[in-house]
Amino acid sequence: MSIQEGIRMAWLSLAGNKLRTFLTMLGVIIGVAAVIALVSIGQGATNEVTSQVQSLGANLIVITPSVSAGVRFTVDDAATIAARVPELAQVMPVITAPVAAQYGITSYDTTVQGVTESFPVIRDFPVASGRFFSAADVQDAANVAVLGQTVSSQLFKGLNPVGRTITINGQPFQVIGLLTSKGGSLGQNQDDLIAIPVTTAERLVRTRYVAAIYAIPKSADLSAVAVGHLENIFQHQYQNDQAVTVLAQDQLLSTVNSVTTTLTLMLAAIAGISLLVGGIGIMNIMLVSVTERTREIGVRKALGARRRDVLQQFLVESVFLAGVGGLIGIFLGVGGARLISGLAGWATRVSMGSVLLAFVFSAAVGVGFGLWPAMRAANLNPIEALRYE
Amino acid sequence: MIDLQHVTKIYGQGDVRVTALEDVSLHVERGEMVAIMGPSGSGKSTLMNLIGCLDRPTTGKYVLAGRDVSTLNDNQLARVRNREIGFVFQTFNLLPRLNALQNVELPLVYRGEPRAARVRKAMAALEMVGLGERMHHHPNQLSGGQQQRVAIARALVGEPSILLADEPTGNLDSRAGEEIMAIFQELNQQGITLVLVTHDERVARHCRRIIRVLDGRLVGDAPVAEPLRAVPVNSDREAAQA
Repeated sequence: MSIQEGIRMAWLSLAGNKLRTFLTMLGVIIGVAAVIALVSIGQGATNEVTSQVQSLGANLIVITPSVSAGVRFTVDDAATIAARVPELAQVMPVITAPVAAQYGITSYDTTVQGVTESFPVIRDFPVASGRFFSAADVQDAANVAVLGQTVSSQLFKGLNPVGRTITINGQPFQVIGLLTSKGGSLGQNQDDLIAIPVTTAERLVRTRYVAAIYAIPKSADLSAVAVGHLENIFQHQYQNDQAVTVLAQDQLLSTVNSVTTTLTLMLAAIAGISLLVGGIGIMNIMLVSVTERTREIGVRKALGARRRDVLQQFLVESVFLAGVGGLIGIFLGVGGARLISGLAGWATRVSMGSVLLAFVFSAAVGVGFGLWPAMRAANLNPIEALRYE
Repeated sequence: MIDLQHVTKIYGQGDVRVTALEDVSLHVERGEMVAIMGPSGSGKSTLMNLIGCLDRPTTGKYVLAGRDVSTLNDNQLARVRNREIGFVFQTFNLLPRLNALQNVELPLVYRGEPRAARVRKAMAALEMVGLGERMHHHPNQLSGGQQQRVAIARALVGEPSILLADEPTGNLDSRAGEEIMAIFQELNQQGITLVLVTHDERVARHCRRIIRVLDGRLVGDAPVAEPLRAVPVNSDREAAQA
């Protein structure tokens, strides 16, 4: 019997019991759709987080003192670090504090970042209009501010803020620039900030201590060397490798990537289990079908069907169930991923690889779980099969 | 055509050995119409299974249409069944999801014949049993007699050496049974070799020779002096022919 005839026979018998055929397929449909949708969510999250980490600034190195270990940095420490680590191109202290900003009668609670003129370069965060403050402004502890997009729209409702005066914690500041928009990163809105000179910030929030020191290496290749150098210095200085955390953006990226890859794999594994259950559903129905059709198998054998003809007939049926179920599942999975990204606003990414994998896996499920029932059918004794009631 | 030589069939092993047939020798010529009779448990089913190549003898030799089939493997037996034997069963055994035409095509499907030839032959076979009008009916849309005629068409379509019928009228009322016997007699007149297995004396007397089986042995083999003549009464088959 040719493959073509086998497919025709399988079609006739599957079309003869449409509800059962559909319900059997449903297991595979859900399994494949789940694999594709969940993997696309995982990969979307990976892409999103990666681009967010990259948006922190290329090659950014963040040096954070551990307050619980009794280590604190001042603005002067930034200069010391710059002098001692020649691999670093720029070093910038950052003072962070919550403040209340006000323009006219509008007030808005935000975060002030006391930084230096290196900020646009180190954070890869240029101004959209106006200018960033200069080294002289930092030197003079000038009352100048550069606004993030969120702060600007909250305070000025679409007016151009450059040149206007706002108050921060009651002190007047002249707005000299507006930053470009960066969007969110790792759950934080990066546009919700006001940048002022670090010297001004020391006075404004009455602190000598900085939250972190940001730096960038002279070249991307030097990032690891610079990090090693910094870690050596702090280890030597504090005899405690927990005292200061030195984190390079590329390290952060690989950490985050390994987390999201694990997440994606976990989602795929969970979805894979449902695909497995779908396969067992096919096997179950095929076994029932073989028992139900024992007499049919006997008749076919009496009419001259060989073992492989019967095997092929049942195998084609189960592969058809799994294959068509897989195809429908792919469409539902891709559609589901689109729906999720539309409704929940999550980034999803359907990769060709996951689609192909899901389909091949479901076809393999058809063969794998169809083989045993088909072999049972093929090995039936025609005399007993014909006598079966 | 059929040549059984000292055939013995034993089922099971050791203490549960059952001798279903013992030293049976039987010869059926081309063009004969033979009834095999016996009560249940007599071994007539075993004999039919052997003649139909569904089973192999434990000892002895079976030559069918000039070929020794007693030592063939499963696949070879399937091929012999496909080419040499046409089965007609008591319960018709049509496949419910296939229509009459598709059912009749089946033996040719397993022979690997191309579709066009298959359809042509199957249509001719259905015409022959008077069901040319009902080719696209499914079995559940046909009466018992009609279903059995489809089964006969299916048995004939591959032009087998013998037609092997197991209680072909057992599930039919007397009128439909008479019709089926009429078809068999007509086929036999056209030269087709027929073997009927039955326990119905009246059915057997339509044949030209009766073989009796009891306790696994042949206990009688005699020609029928005056075979009954089956006369179909005003059936749709004749209406189709008219």
